[in-house]
Amino acid sequence: MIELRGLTKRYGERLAVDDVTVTVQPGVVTGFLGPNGAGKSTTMRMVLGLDRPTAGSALVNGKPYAEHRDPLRQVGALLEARALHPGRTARAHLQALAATAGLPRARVDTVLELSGLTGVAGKRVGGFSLGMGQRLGVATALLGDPATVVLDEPVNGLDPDGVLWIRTLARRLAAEGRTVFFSSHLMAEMAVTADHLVVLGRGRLVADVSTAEFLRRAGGDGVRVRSPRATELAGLLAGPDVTVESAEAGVLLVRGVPTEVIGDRAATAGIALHELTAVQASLEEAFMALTADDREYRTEEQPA
Amino acid sequence: MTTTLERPATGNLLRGEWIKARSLRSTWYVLAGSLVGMVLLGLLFTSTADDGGPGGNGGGPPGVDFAQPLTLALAGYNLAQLALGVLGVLLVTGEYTSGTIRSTFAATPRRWPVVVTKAGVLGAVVLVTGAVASLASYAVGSAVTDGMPGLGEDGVLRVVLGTALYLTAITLLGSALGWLLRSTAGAVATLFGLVFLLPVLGNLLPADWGPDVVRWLPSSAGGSLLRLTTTADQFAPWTGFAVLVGYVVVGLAAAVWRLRTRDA
Repeated sequence: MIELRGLTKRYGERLAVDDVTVTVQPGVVTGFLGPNGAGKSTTMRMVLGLDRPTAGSALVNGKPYAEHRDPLRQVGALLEARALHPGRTARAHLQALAATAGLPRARVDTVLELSGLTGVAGKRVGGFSLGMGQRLGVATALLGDPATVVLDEPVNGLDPDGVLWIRTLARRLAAEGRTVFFSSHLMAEMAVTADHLVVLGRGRLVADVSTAEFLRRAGGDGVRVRSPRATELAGLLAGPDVTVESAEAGVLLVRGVPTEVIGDRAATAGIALHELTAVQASLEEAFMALTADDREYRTEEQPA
Repeated sequence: MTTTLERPATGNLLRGEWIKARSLRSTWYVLAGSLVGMVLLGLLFTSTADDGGPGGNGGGPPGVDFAQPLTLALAGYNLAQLALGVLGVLLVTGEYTSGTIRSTFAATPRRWPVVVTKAGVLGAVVLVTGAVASLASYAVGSAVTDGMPGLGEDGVLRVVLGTALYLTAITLLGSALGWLLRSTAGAVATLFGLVFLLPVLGNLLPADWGPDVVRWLPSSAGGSLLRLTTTADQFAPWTGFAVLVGYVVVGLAAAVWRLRTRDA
C-alpha cells in the first residue's frame, strides 16, 4: 500500500507536485496518468525516498521508505528507462543489488527467467535494445519479491510481445495481493490494464477513481445512430437524462437510451436505421476532457 | 511474499560494491595499466641512474632528488595517481551518469553507508595494487642499478609502501570529488587541478610565503611520505600524509553531508 498525504514538491517557483493525497491499494493495478510534466515521476521518486518532499509525506506499507530495514523486499521500482551501467552484464547488475540487499542469490536467476533475459544474462547492458533494457529494469524491480511494485512507463520501448508481458505481469502481481502502481502515457494500455486510476494535472490530483467510473464520468457510453430520418428520431428519443448530439447530417450520438430501446422506437415509428452501434468513450477522450486546463505543454500556447 | 527479514549489513554492502567494481572492465584496465605503467616507467628512469638521472646530474625540478635511484624507480606513481584518481571518480560518477545511483540508494536509503563502503572496497583494491606496483618497481629498479638503497635502510620501506598509501589516498580523493560534483568531467578536472596544476602554480608564488602555501596542497603534503629526506619547506613524511588523509576525510564527510539533503 502506498499512502500519499499532502505530498508536495517545489522546485524554486514551480510546484511539481501540489498537495496530493491518495491511497494506492493492494490487490489491484493502479494506473498513474498525467500529461508530461504533471509530476508523475517526481511523485514516484518521493515514494522511493529519492527526492525529499517539500511538504507532506509518502508512506509505503505503513512507513516512510527510508525507514524500512528491508527496502527492496518492500518496494521494487522501475523509475527510468536504462538506469543501467552499459559496461556491466545483466547478471552482474542484479547480483550487486541482490548482494547489497542481502537477497538470496537464486532470486537473480528467478527474475532473469521471469523477464526472459536468461539467454543474454552474460551480455553487457550497453548492447541491449530499449526493450531488453526495460525488461532488465522490471527484473530489477522484482528482485526483492516486493509487496509493492512501482513502475514508471514500463511499456516504453517494448514490442507488442513485451507490452502484453507487462500487462499480464501487472495483473498477476496484483492478483497475488501486491500493490501495483504504474504510469503510462499509453491510454489504451491503461484502459485494459488498470483497475483504478490516479490522474495528475500540473501536479494536482485530478481524479482518483476506478477506470470504469473515470470513463463514465467523461461522457460515458453512447449509441451511434445513422438514419435518413435522424431529426425525426431525435425527437422521439428526447427525455430527461438523455442527450442527443449530431455531428453530421443523418448521424446521431445518443446518450441515456439503451440500444434496444432506440431500435424498438424506430421500428414502431417505421423509421429505417442504417446503423445502430454502441460506442464507448475512449480513455484518451476522457483524459483530454479532464485535463484540458492542466496540461503543461499545449500546442495552442505556442506563439504563432 | 516477504520471507526473512535481513538487514542490509555492512558485509552485504561491501559485497555489493565489490561486485559493482569488479564487473566493470575499466576497473581492471586501470589497475593493470597503473601497475604495468609504474613498473615500466620506473625501469626506464632507473636505467639512467648510473649516469646521474634523467638529464644528467642535477636535472629535474628543484627539491626532487633525481639522482636518488629510489625516487627514480617509483617515479611512475605520477602517472599511476592520474589513472587511479580517475578510477575513483568513475566508480562514483558512473552511477550518476548511468542512473544506477537510484537503484543503489533504493537498496540503501540511508545513503552514507554507500559512500563509506565504496571507499572501503576501492581503497582496499588500490592499496593492494599500489603495494604490488611499488614493490615490483623497487625490485626492477634494484636489478638495473647498483645504487639502490636496501629495503632495510632508513626510510626506504616507508617510501616504498608509502607510495601505495599515497596512491590509495589520491584515489579516494577522486571518489570524494565524484560524490560532490557528480560529473565525470568536473571531478576529473578538479582532481587534476588539485594534484598537478596547483603545485606548479604554487611555485610561481613569492618565495617568502609561497612554499608555506604549497606544502598544504594534497599532492605536496602527501608527497612528503615518498621522500627519503624532506626539506624545511616540506612537512615531515607522516605529518604530510596525515594532511592528505585529512583532505580525503573532509571530502568524504562533505559528500555524506550533501547526500543527506540532496535529491538523488
